[in-house]
Amino acid sequence: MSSSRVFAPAHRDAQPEARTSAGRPAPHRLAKRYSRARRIEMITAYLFILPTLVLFLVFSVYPFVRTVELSFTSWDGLSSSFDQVGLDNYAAALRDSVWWGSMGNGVFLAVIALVFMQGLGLLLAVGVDRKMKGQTLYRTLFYLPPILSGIVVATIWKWLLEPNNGVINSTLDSIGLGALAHPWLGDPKTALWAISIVSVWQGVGYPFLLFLAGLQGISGEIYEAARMDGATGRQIFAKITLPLLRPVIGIVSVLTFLGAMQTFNLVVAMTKGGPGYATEVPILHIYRSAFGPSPDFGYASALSIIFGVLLFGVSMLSLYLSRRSGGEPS
Amino acid sequence: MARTPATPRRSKVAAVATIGLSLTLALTACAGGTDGTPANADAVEKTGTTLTFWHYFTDRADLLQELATQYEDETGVEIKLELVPGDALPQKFQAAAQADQLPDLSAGWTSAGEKLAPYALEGKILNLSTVDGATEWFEEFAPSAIQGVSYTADNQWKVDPGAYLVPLDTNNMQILYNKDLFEQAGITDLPTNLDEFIEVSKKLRDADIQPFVSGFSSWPLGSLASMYADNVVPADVRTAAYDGSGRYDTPEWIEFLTVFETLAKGGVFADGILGYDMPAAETLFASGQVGMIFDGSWALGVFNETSPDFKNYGVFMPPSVGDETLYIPGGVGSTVFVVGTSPNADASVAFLKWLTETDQQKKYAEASFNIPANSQVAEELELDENIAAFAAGADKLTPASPVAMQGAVVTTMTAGLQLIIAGTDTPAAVAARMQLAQETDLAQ
Repeated sequence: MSSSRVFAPAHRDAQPEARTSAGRPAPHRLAKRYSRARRIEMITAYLFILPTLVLFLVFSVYPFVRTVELSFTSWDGLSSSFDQVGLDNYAAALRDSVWWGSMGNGVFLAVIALVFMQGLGLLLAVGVDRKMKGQTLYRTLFYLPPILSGIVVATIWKWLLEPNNGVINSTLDSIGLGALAHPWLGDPKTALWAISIVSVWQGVGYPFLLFLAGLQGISGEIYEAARMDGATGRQIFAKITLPLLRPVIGIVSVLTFLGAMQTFNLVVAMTKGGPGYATEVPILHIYRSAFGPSPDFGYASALSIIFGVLLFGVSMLSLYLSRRSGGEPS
Repeated sequence: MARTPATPRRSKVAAVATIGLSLTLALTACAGGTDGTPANADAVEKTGTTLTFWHYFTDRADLLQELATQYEDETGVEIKLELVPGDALPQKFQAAAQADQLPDLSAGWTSAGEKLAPYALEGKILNLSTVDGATEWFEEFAPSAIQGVSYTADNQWKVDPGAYLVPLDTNNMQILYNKDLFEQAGITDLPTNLDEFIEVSKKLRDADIQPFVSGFSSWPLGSLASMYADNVVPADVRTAAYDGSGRYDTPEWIEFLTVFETLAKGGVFADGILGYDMPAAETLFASGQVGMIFDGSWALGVFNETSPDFKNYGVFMPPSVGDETLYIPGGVGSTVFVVGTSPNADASVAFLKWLTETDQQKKYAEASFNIPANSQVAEELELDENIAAFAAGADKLTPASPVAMQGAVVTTMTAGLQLIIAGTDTPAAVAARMQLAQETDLAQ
């Protein structure tokens, strides 16, 4: 507690000295000393946050401002001169069917993640929360995929999904289901599904951990009272667990949505956006625009701004709706 | 035990330390090569000249290190080799150019054309034709090799004419076939036209062998496509489309795209071909699961390294599918360039000259299974049957052109071809998208 006094109002520390011989405060001197001490403390406080502020300005604010600035130019990423093109890049983005197709693919991945990654994460968390044996082991196991590098995960799954020698098709073949064997990543109809499954497999550990933490924060007395009132397991889950988890569900939904929309490394390593544009995702399209055969940093910057604004808007809307429905994050 | 509040004096000391730390962090973040010097400038002063060389030659990394060590022993100049993944090198170089953190030398990732033009214009890549003794130096190379690394006087990118890269080897892309599998399928003659190619593929399929593979999820599809574009689309129609005076949605371009539809419907392509990149395709071929692969001369080195027992294969020219002359992609293989803004540009040029001298080129060719760029060495060496077949292809390389298909159109075409092969799009629709990509690119 005492350490917090550094930032406490100055008069509390200075009070014992700021009195006249008669025991009354000397208003002018006192005010001067208080304000000096307070100033020092304020400056000290600001200096302590300076390193973080500098890092924030250098690595977050400056790149953001620069991106906005570049989005109104035709800079190719290298040339020393470029033109100001006003809103041309934004207008081109509106006409770019591949860009909006990639947004559609991003939304598809996000919906799959919201439904399956969250659903599976919640199921696993509920299962592990029931004081089962080996809880720590499961917790570790479920959290292993998220800590693997995306490229490693992609390489493993590419090998599993390989059409001629892959484990999945070979297994289907060996159990007499060879007719179901398929070039999963080489077919535009299945490639995005394949990536979404890999994405769910890799990401399910995050919601699992957050849901588990949320579940463990619910008092056991509530469940006990419900049971004494004759509530069934399903009723307890629907009427107690889910409502009390709503703040966590709100946050996890936003994080899952943002993560899925920003899928990049899985796609690059597994399909490079193909076949055709079947797995093109927004970040990959921005990357190609900036570093592709015809680099256009101005256009890539405009796409980044559009993408950022849309994600920000959806996140805010989601949090607002979550709050309105009583799930305000604590 | 309660902690005592920080006294003003202690706070001041902490604050001063914090300011120092902040400034250090800020300066560190902003520092490094702002004067154009490489990040290893200190090392240069301490140990003599050190040249940083970025490359992606994974299969020749040991050989390059051996040559670098030899060069240091002979001259005292240290060559610091840094291996960068091939598909990441263009992005890494672009980012380094923006940050003024370029190496002294780098492997080239493409020949002289649209992608290198911005660097050449900005002086980031040295025009080697301007260095002392350039004429004599370039006489050592096959003319086609120098042509591929040079910008012509009338190039569309307005780059000063001259050679900007040095070829270490030459290459070209043809079709390799597995002799055992061909025999197994009863194939005695190699295909020379579209019908024969489909017939051979059918025989392979009948023998339960996947006919043809290549890295169609990546750039090889574009290379095969550009070869057949030259083979099918008349030169004047092509040139007009490239320079913007013509269009891509014409019958000639649609006919070219239709070739891939015909090949796909003819069962030529291996199952799941669109999911394969080149290493995966090469693994499939070298393990005897596919009859043919469209690949480059470098594949011989790859097979030798990854599947040393796989020897019974041959090379043939891709079948012609159109009325125009069939030219194969290739010419320049591995290349190296000198960073024009490097303070060690002269030393870098000296190293490159040494690297392309006869003795080093012999060693390079023997160890790497590549066709040496030094024409004298190519004549002196006894080439393996398959290397000789690739070397013979040097006469059939796509001639240099001052205009080329725009990068955005290539991207659209490659994606469109994938959809045609998958059976989800039509040649006419893809041609229309190529035209749209051209118009958008020109408008921007």
